[in-house]
Amino acid sequence: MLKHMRLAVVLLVTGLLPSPLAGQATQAAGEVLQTSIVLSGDETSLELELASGRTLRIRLSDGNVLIDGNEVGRYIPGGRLESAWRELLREAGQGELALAWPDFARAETATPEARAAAAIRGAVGPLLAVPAAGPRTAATAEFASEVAEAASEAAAARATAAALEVAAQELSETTLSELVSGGLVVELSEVEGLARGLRRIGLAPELVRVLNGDLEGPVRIVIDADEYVLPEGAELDHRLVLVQSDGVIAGTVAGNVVVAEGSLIITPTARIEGDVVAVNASVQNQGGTILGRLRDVSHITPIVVPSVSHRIRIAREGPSPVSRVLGGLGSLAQTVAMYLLFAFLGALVVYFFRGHLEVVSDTVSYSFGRSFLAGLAAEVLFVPIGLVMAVLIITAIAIPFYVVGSVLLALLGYLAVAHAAGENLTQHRFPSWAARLRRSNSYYYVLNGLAVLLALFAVAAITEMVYPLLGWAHDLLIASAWILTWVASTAGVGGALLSRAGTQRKYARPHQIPELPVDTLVEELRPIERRAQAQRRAGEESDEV
Amino acid sequence: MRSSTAAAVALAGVLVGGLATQATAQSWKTVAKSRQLRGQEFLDVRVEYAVGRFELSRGPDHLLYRLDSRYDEDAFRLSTNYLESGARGSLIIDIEGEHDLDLQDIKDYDYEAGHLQLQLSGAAPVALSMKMGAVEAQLDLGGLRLQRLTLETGASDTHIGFSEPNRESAETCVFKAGAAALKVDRLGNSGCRRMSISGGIGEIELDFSGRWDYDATGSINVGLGGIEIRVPAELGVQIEKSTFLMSFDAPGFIKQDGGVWVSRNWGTAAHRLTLSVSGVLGSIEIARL
Repeated sequence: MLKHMRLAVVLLVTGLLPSPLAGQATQAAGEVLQTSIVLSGDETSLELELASGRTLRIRLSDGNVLIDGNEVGRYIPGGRLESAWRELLREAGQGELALAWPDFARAETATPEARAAAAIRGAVGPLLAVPAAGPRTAATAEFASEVAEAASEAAAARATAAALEVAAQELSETTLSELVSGGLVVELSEVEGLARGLRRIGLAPELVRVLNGDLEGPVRIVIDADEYVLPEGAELDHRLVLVQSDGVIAGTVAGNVVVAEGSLIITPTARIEGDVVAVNASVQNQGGTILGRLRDVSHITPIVVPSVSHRIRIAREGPSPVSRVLGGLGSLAQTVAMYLLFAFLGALVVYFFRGHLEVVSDTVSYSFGRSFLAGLAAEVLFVPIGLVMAVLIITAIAIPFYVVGSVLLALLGYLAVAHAAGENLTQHRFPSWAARLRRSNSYYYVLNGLAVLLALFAVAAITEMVYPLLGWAHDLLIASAWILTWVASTAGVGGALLSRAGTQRKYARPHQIPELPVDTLVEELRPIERRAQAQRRAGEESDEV
Repeated sequence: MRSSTAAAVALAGVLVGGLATQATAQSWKTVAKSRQLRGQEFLDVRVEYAVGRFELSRGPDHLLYRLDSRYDEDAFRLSTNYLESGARGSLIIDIEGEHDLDLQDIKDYDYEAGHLQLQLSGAAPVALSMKMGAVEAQLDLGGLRLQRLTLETGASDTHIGFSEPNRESAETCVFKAGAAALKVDRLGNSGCRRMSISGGIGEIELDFSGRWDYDATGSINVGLGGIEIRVPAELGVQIEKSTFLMSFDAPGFIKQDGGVWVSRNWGTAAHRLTLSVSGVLGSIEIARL
């Protein structure tokens, strides 16, 4: 594993830093356009955007000092270097980096941190030599820019050297096979960790997938080469990866060839036994043989390593059948508990406020539309009225009463709707007057009405147990149950308001004693009387015996 | 912060829809950025800030902007983007909640410990657009080259001042306050030709003193609450009142037809301010300085 980490370091070092091996002029120009500082518990970073377009990034994290993503040394957490660095960033955040810099430049560090401190100073110090502000003539600006560029190159070279020194120390198991014009060729015996390294230098995910899918065996990586040539007759039993390089293949490659951000010419004598994958690169096949496929994945957006997201969603398998049944039983138990609770409250209301409850119930039943609209208006106005009460000091103290009163009104309304539902259900279910008479009490109505109102929840709980089969029905039932509850509550509140909590019958059904169909009633009661007489007679006979 | 404001701030936390983990789990992060002024001829600044303290002022002229932000990285996400097109720069700063709201979180969240400090160059013309949630804001816009200003607040305690005259003439200044206390000092220095100030619930205090070398119009609208307006004696002021259940007290003003009140120097003043004031419930007080 350690070896693979080292390989990643090599890749990052060679891939990101302006390499002196490359012989190219670094692009860094001294003038700092933008300074960005991040300070948190476990990480500190400084980012300098230069006029040339280059961005210098220095980060201290987990004991490592990274410059442009490459480890240039280590620091002791809480030690001198970190303290001085944090102080520098704190002061720079409040003022100017250049003003805070001298203290950091003079700060002493522990011996193990010396290399990292030197790398930081080498990278940043020369950039701050440039006057940060003020009007300048074109000549002085140009001169300053040249000076800064030279200083920046020197700084970058020092930083790179420090990084390469680290890499070289840890590179014992990796073959640095050859230097090519302007670049570097690295032979890797395994590529585990390579994907991570490539991802960190911003290559496309498809490329990473290509390599991930083929982890066994060695790979040759060419980085930052002006021209890498695999001559005619040469055989490479490695896979070949060209990163930011221009290459010519005239020989034979046993595996895949990947070219990222560069160009590749395949001559007529070339033979590639795998795929050729181009990532933001041009591939020109002049007649060579490609046994695999030629794929261009340039359209894929280069990876942007995301910051830590708190919105990661983890796909989970659905619950097991057992847990579904248990969940359904739990929901059923909840529904039963709700029924018992409301039944208890309903019994209390019937016992103490039966007249009020019946008037509200009649109001809802007789003027349902009006009650619903009144309840809807009350719901809409509930918050604004509360706000108005909150603003006016006199009424502000009444807010608790307002809230409690509203809750009680809603409860009374809901129970009244249950009462109305129970009463209507009884009338439809028992057309017989005798049966209806036996059930004509408010306790019965409320209990039955609550059962009706909560029935959908109970059925939904049952369907929850067989969710894979009746999932749609469960969702539909739950939605319907809540809609029914809302409609009932709204109408109940409206009925309670219209009837002034059951004190006025203005919108209620006219209170009148129904005319009983006496003949029918007598007819219906006759069998009962007969049974009673028969029982009486039987009792008398047994007494005689 | 007053308790009423604190309650309003908590309410705005609900409105902004994003907050915070437990106070014990807060993980503070400081981000500071600054950019050199290099030929930019205009800067468009947009700030959205959910919860905390916000300060804005003029900074060194050679820096286009400088910001310093401290926030709980477990609860908030900061994004700052600077884009440049030609000589026009655009700075977008957004600190928004990372999680869904939890009332307990709001209660526990130490919102005063988080802050955003922004400094802008006085050398580049600037347009400011700011949206605040539950924020305690102190904005000193004096000395900037302000061309346009828009401020929207949720449940904030906002104090805006123009300590020095605006070095540009501002096209429009818009202040929208939700359940908030809004105080604006030395509006005369703002250079705003057209002003719109509106509030939902809360107190609005407007001080129109400052350097007046221009005429201006403005509309002030508040739902519930009080409006206190102070105008300099040398300024000609006309107020068109359209209110419902609002007391109106404007000593020294002359009532005209159609709910219009004018200062005695309306006909002779070198510069004039015309205000249209409307509201539902509360009070309006006009005072001459």
